[in-house]
Amino acid sequence: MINVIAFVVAVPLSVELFGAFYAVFDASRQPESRAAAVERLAVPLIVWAAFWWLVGAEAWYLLAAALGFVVICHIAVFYIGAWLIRRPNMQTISVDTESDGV
Amino acid sequence: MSHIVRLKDAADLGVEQVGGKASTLGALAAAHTVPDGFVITTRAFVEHFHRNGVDIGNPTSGSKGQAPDDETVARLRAVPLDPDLAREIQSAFAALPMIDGRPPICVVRSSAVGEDGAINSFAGQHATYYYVERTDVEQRINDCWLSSWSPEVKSYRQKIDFAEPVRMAVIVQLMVPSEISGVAFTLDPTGRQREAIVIESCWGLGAALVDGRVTPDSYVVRRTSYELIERRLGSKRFKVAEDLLDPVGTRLQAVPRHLQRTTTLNDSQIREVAELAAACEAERGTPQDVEWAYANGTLYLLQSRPISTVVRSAKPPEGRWVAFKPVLENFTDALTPLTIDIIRRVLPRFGQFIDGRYYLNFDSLRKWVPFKVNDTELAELALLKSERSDYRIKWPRLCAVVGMLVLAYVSTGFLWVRSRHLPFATLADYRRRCATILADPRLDAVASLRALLLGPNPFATASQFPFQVNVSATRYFFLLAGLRWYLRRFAPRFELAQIAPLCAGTREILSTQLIDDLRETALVAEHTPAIRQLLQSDRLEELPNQLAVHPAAAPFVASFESFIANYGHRGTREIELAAPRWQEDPTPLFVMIRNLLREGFTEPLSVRAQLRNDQAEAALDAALTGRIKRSIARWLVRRIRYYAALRENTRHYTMLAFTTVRTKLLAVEQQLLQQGSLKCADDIFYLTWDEVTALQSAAPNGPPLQLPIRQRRLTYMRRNRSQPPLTINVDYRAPQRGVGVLTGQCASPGIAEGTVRLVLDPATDGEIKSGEILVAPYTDPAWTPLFLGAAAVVVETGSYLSHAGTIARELGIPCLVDVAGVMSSLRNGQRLCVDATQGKAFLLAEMDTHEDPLP
Repeated sequence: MINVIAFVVAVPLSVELFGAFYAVFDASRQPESRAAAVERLAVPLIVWAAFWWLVGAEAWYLLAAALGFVVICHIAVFYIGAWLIRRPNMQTISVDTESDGV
Repeated sequence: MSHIVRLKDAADLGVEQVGGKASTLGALAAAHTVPDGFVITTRAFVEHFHRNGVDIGNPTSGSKGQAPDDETVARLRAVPLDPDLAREIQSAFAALPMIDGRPPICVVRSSAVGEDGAINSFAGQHATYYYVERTDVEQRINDCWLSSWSPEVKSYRQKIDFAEPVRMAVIVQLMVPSEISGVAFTLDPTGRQREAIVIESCWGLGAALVDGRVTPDSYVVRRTSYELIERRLGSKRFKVAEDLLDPVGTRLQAVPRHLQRTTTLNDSQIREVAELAAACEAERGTPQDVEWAYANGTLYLLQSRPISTVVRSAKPPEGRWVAFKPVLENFTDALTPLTIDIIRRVLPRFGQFIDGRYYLNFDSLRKWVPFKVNDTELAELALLKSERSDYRIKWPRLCAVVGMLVLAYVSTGFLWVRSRHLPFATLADYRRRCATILADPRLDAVASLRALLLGPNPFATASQFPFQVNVSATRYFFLLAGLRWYLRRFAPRFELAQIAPLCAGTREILSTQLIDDLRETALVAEHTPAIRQLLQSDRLEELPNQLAVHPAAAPFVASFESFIANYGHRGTREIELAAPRWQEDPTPLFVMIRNLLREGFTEPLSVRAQLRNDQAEAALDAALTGRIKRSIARWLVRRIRYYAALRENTRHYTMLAFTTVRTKLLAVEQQLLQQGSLKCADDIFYLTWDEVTALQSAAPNGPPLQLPIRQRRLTYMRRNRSQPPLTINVDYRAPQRGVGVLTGQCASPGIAEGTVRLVLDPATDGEIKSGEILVAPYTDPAWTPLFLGAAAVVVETGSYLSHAGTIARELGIPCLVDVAGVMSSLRNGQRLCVDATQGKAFLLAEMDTHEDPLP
C-alpha cells in the first residue's frame, strides 16, 4: 500500500521535474530566461530529493517507474492523438441543414 | 409570321411563346418603369435547332428530345441565325430609342419556358450578356440559347427533375447603367422576419449580388407601413461595373473605399423600392423576388419572379447544441465550406459544425459540469454569460472531473509546467516551423495544418506548440476567479472594478505592441510630408506601387516592411482561410496610419497602462493589511498578467499556421484557375477538400462545379446576414433589453459618452474619430488600432476574456461586450452613454442620423 501511495505521489513530482528540465531547454536560446529556468529547477529537484529520502533509497525503482510512466504517457498521448485524429470517425463532422451536404 | 414581339406586348402571347421572365416583365411594364426591349420567341429557338438537326423534343407529342453533347454545342456556336430572323432582329434593334444620341446598348437575357416559375426559378443558370451592341446581338442570342445545355443547367435540371423539352425565348432589352442595384423580397426568404420586405443592395450591376460575390447592404421594411426596422451595412468591396464591357458579366472592380462604408440607399429610396416590390406582389398574386436598379435617379424594374426558396424546409440538426463562445467572440460570420472541411479534419469530435458555426454538444457538456444547473443556467455558463458563484456542487461529478484533470495533468503536464514561465521571445521560433512546412511540397493543406497544430514531436520546444500552450493559458480564468474571491474575502474596501486596470499593463502582449509599432510607423510618415500626402488618397490600394518609386519613401517603407514582417500574417477573421491577410492586402493598415495621423499621437500605450496600473496597485495595497496577504494578491495579479499575455501571444503565432495553410491553398487555386477548373478567385473556398483534390487530379473538363459554388456562395452570404443562434434545440432565451437601454457584460469598467460609430469590417472601415464609440459585431487583433481613438467599445458578442476586453483593459477604456442586437439597433451618429461598470449603455439622442450621402 505504501508503495502505491509513493508511486501516486511520485507521478506529479515527476511531471514537475521533467517540466522544469524542459523549461530550461525551452529557454536555451535566451540567456536570461535560461538562468531563471535553471533557478526554478531547484525547487522540484529539492522536493524530489526530499521525497526520495522519505521513501528510502531502496525504493528507487518506484521513483524510476513514476518517471518512466510519465515519459511514456507524454509520448503515447502525442502519437496516439496524432493517429486518432487521422481516423475519419474521430474527426469533427459538419452538418448543413439546407444545402447539398457540404 | 414574326418571331419578335415588343417586350411590353409579350404578356399577350403567353408563357409558351415568350417564356416566364418576358411574360411577367411584359405584364408589369404597363405600370412600372421597365427598360424597353423586344423578345425573340420560342418559335425562333425551335426552328433554329430543328434546322440544325438538334432533337429538342416536342411538348405536344411528349417527346423529350436529346440534349446535344459538348461537341455539338461548340459546333452550333458558330452557326449563324436564319437570315430572315437576323433581319427581324436587326430591324427591332434599330427601332429601340437612341440613348443620348448614341446607338442603344442592350442586355441579352434568357426567358425559358419554366424559368422564373413558382416552383423552379432557374436563377442564374442561363446566360445573360451585358452591354451588347447591334453587331454582336445575333451571336449573343445564339449563345443564350446554347446556355440551355451548359453543364450547369444540365446538372440543375437533373437536380430538380425537370424533364420538359427545352424552349427558350430571349429578351433583348436596353441596358440600364445601374449606379445601385439589388433585389427585394416581399417575404423574408430566410423566414427570420414576418410581415417584412427585405431589400438588398450594392453598387453597380446586380450580378455580383445575385452571384453572392459581395455582401450587400440589407434593409428590412415593415410591409404595412414601409417603416424601416433594420439596416445592416454590407462590406461592398467589389462591384460589377456599370460600364462593364466583359460579356460574361463577372468582372469585379474594387469599390472606392469611401463608398464601401456608405449605405447604398437612402430612406426615400428604400421606401420606393419597397413600394415597387409590394406592387409587383399585388399584381402577380404571390410573394415576389424583384430585381431593380437605379440609374440617373430613376428606379427600374428589371425582373420579378415568385419566391421559390422561402423558408426552405431545413432539416433541423439532431441533438442539443450550444455555440462555442471562444470562436464566436472572435467572429460571428459563418466559415466557408473549405475552411470547415479542413479544420474539421484536424479537430477531434468534441462538437460539430452546424451551418458554418462550431457548436458543443449540450448534453455532453452537462455530464462534465459539476454543478446542479437547469438548461438555462448551463447555457449561460457555456456562453460565458454567468457571473454567479453560488451554484450547488454535484460532488460525484466533481470527483470525476478532478480525476480527469489529474489524468490530463499526468499525460500532458509537461507542457502545463513549461508554460508557467515561457519566455515570450522563444515563441518566434514557430516562424521557422511554418516556413519549413510551407516549403514542403509533400504536405497538402490538411496535412500542413495538422502538422502545425500538433507539433513536430513530443520532445520539441514549447514554441512549437503554440496552440496547446494557448489552451493551457485558460487557467487565467480560474486565477481571475480566485483573485475576485480573495479580494472580496480579504479586501472588501477594494472596488472589484479596479481588478481590470490592476491586471492590465502587460507590456509584452503582442496585440498591444502592434499598436505601438504601428504608431512608430505612423510617426515616420508624420515626418515625411510626401508620404502624408500619399496617405490622403482615396485609392490607397495603389499606395504600395507609389511607394516603390517614390524617392522619399525609403524610411517609411523600411518601417512598414518591418511591421509586416511581424504582423503581416494577421487580418480580420483569421481562422477563416478565405480571409486575406495584411501581407496580401495592406490597405487597412494604411487607413489606420492615416487615422493616427489625423487624430494625433498619444503617448505609447505602455506608458498609459503603467500609470493606471500603478494607481490600482496603490489602491490594492491600501485595501489589504499584512505583508502575506499583499504578497498573495500580488502573486495572483502577476500570474494573471502573464497568462493574459501568453494567451494573446500564442494566439498570434497559432494564426501563423492558418496563414501558412492559406498560402498553400492560394497556390492550389492558381493551379486550378490556370487549368480552367475554376473560373474566379475565391471559388476554391466554396468547395470541399475532396472536391479540390479531385479537381487537382482531374482533366480540365471535370464535373461542373459552378452550380454548387454559386449556391454555396449564396448560402454563405445569407447566413452572414444574421447572427447565429446561440443554442439549438435548447430551451434558452437571452435576456431582453429595455427600450433605449442596451445590456451586456462589463469587460473593462468605466463610463463614457460619445457618438456611435458602427464598424462592420476594419478592412473597409478603419477610420474612427477621437471620442466616438466603436460599435462592432466582434473584434480580433485586426481591430486593435481602432480602439486607440475610441471613447468606449461596445461589442455584439464577446466575453470578459475576449480580445475586445483584453485590449480595452490595456487601454483603459470602457468596454461592454455581449450586447445582443446592438449592430441592428444603433445607427451612426446617435449619442450613446456607455456605463460599462453597470453593464449598460443608454441611448441619449440622435444627433445626426443622416447616413452618408449618395455619390
